[in-house]
Amino acid sequence: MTERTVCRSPLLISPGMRLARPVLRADGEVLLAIGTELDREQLQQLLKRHVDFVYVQQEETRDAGAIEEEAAAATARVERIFRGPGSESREELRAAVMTYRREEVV
Amino acid sequence: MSAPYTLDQVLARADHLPALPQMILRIMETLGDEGSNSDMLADQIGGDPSIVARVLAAANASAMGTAGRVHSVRQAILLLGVGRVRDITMATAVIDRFAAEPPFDAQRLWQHSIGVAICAQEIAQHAGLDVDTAYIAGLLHDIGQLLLFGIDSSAYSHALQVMNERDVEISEAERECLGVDHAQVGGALARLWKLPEVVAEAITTHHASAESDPETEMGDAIHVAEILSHALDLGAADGNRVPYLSDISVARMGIEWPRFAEKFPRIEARFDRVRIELGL
Repeated sequence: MTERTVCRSPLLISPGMRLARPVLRADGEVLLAIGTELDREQLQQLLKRHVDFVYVQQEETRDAGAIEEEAAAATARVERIFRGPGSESREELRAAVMTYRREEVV
Repeated sequence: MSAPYTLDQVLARADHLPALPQMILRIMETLGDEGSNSDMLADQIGGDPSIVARVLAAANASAMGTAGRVHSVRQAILLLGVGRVRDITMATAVIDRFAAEPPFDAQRLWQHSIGVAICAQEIAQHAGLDVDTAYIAGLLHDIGQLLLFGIDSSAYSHALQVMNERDVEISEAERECLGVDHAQVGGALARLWKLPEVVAEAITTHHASAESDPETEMGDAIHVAEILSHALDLGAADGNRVPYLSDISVARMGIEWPRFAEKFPRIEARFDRVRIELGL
């Protein structure tokens, strides 16, 4: 079974999901280590500490074709919302969003 | 009276919108006050039963799957923190107060406004500006749309049609169909409501163009936040298009997009969470 890393609000995480990246405290100390299987208590701790998002592992159920299709749709959406001419910084923003969306898919 | 309108004519009919909730002004007064703490916030909210109900609903949505239910504002503040309860309070106060009939999509407007408010906080923090002021300016940046629709719903519906058919920005369609745009109207309305001048100015200038850049740093923050929320597709409107972005505003905020992109996951996660909390 292959897995992929996704970024989620703790509100959208179910108990049993595993951390793909450690959760750090404000002082840089590790609060929860990579690989931790999150239980209810730990999710509650994240909410209490006002952690906005964490990276968790999610089972990969898509085949290569489906991933490619999703990447193409994400690219097309970014091109569509950035239609028309723009300034230099708008062009840089478009490139940053494009990179972000493509990384999100794979 | 019919379109086109002058700004004065629009403001003379400002009573087509309900007044700004007093709660907003009370909270604004205590911002930046070192002594402003959870007791003060609990007292401010406590006097308004409808806000209490909404804050508790939001806290319980946030506490979903964790221990117990949240029964009091103080508990909500313990769970969520002063900053988030203040954000939820201001958002629910304006969302509950200002509504509109179709074809105006008020739900869409508030989703977008929450997205801009969150982006504005992140940009303000990056640039060393006040994050709470940025939040309220982001939340109210499109309030002028609701007043224009309230005054002349048929001219405004026409502007929405022009925007969709010609794929132009809403402010351009508004100026053509109504004579004024929502940014001018919203800024003037903020002054009428006695909101701080920094908020009013930021609302007025949030749609920059090649000919005019915002004149204050908070104006830059709200302008860039507006563009970023479109770029991240927050609210994902069908006809979404990223408007003009001022190079000068981006530079003044010290933003380099490849680096600032590190904040994109947090902005999206916060947007998802707030939509759940507010039931939007």
